[in-house]
Amino acid sequence: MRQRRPDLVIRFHSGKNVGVAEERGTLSLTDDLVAEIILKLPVKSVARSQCVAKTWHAAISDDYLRRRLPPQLSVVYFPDDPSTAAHGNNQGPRFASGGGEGGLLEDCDLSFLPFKQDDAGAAAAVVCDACNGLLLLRAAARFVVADPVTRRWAALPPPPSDDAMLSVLAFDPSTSGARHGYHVVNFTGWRDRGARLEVFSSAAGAWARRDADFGDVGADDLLCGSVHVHGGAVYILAAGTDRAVRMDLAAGDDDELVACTVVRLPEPVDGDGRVAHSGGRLHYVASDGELLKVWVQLDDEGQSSWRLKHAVKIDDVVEGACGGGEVRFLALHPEKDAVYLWSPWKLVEYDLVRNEVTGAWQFGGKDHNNVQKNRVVKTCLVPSSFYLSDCLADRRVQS
Amino acid sequence: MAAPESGDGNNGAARMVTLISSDNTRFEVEAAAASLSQTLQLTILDGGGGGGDGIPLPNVDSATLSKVLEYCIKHAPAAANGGAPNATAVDRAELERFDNEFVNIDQSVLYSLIMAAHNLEIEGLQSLVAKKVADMIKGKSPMEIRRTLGFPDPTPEEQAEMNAHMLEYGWAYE
Repeated sequence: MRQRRPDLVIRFHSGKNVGVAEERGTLSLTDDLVAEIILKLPVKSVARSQCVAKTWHAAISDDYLRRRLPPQLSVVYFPDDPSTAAHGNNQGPRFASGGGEGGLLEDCDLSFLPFKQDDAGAAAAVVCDACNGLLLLRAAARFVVADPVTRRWAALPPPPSDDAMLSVLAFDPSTSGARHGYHVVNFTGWRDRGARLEVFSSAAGAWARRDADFGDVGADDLLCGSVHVHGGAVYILAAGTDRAVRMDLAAGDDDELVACTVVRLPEPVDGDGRVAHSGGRLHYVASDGELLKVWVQLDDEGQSSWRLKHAVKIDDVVEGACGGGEVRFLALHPEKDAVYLWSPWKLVEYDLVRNEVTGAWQFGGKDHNNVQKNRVVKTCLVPSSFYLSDCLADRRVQS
Repeated sequence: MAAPESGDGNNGAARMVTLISSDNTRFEVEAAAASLSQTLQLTILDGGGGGGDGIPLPNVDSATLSKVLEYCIKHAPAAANGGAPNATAVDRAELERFDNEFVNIDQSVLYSLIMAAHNLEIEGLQSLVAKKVADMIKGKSPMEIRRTLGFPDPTPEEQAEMNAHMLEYGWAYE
């Protein structure tokens, strides 16, 4: 028989702000509670909450909270739908974000950019690349890096030459540190197993001619659509081989030769293979039309090896996918085991551990009658904190 | 093996505990339900709250506590199953329906619930009420958020900060 414990009282910790003034229906909250609420807000509301009260501002400035904010979905798409095409300007790629409610992909208006409009009202600029929430645009010989959500942008000085065959934007807000530096890489000439480059570094504010030597990988094999950026390095897969080239731009900014390494992949690359990072580890994702395979690179005492982590039937991910529709891998979640896939006409988040669809986004909303048939070609999950910080501070356009 | 005493059994009738609100109302509830509270869990594991004893909760009034326990009783079976893995889609849909209706309540009750869920450390309930408050303030301007939460009118200094913020973060106000 247990003894009676008449003194047993559950005492709550009482922070100085805890308490409800019920008469006025006023809510005063501890920092913990403010944080819990903020974590459930869309990113625009998080930004607005900064000036609700001093305690709220402090909560949002907190690094720990910022790291817990959910990443924002951002996509590059082709406006194939007649209604979108008519609304937008030309048939070039456009940019949208998935921060809105109800699984809605919202087009970002790029008219704030400093480009001349032609007679049809179309911006005379093309989207060259998108990387972790930033866009690289080109109008004539001029490059602009822009954040389509916060409307900050920076115009780059003219590159040394005007004949880039491929332009890549390398920006990684999760690892670039407070400075949020980015690189723009123009491939200006190919050799058998290498390339001539012009690299713009935002830290230096200038272009530099550089050179890349791909080792035993032929430049002809490189798949331009497979470019992946992580932590200052650019990865490009080589078709038909089990290799990828890793070009480390951040290391040795001043060296003429870009440090390149050849990464061995678990299986030969076909058109669908992609590399991505999750939990800080390199992953390889490929699909043969029936199975989606996700490999993770392990590092055992300096020897790297690959382990097949997930293999899921594509039919399970997207119902009726084999009914003729394409299913394409777009991105890995930066932390959890989830993939983002494209299947007409929606973007699907699939949890690889629970084996279920955990999110879906469309243009025009969830209502099937309103769905716009736009094709998403690239997806990034951008840390929310990126939008709250001071990236591209050189120039700001106010609406 | 000796028969378990005073409803402390592992089989047969579920073990009950008594919780006492700040206004001295006694609530008898299954230990499994009350144990959704991290704050209470150790005490209950330790055998507290049973028999003639009760666990006094001097910060929670009876109206709030009955609401909290309504949540705990509904969610206890799923929590005992280790959460989602074994739950059927129907079970999950039913819990979701319950949750949606549960927070469809008067603002002052909601605020009392927030404090109680926080103090009692009931994770699911904390998340549920935080989501409800987030739904109430999302899309609103900082001024509207202040009004929604019943904050006093801003000082001129705070007002100036809001205006400056709106200029700096124009994108967030569309």
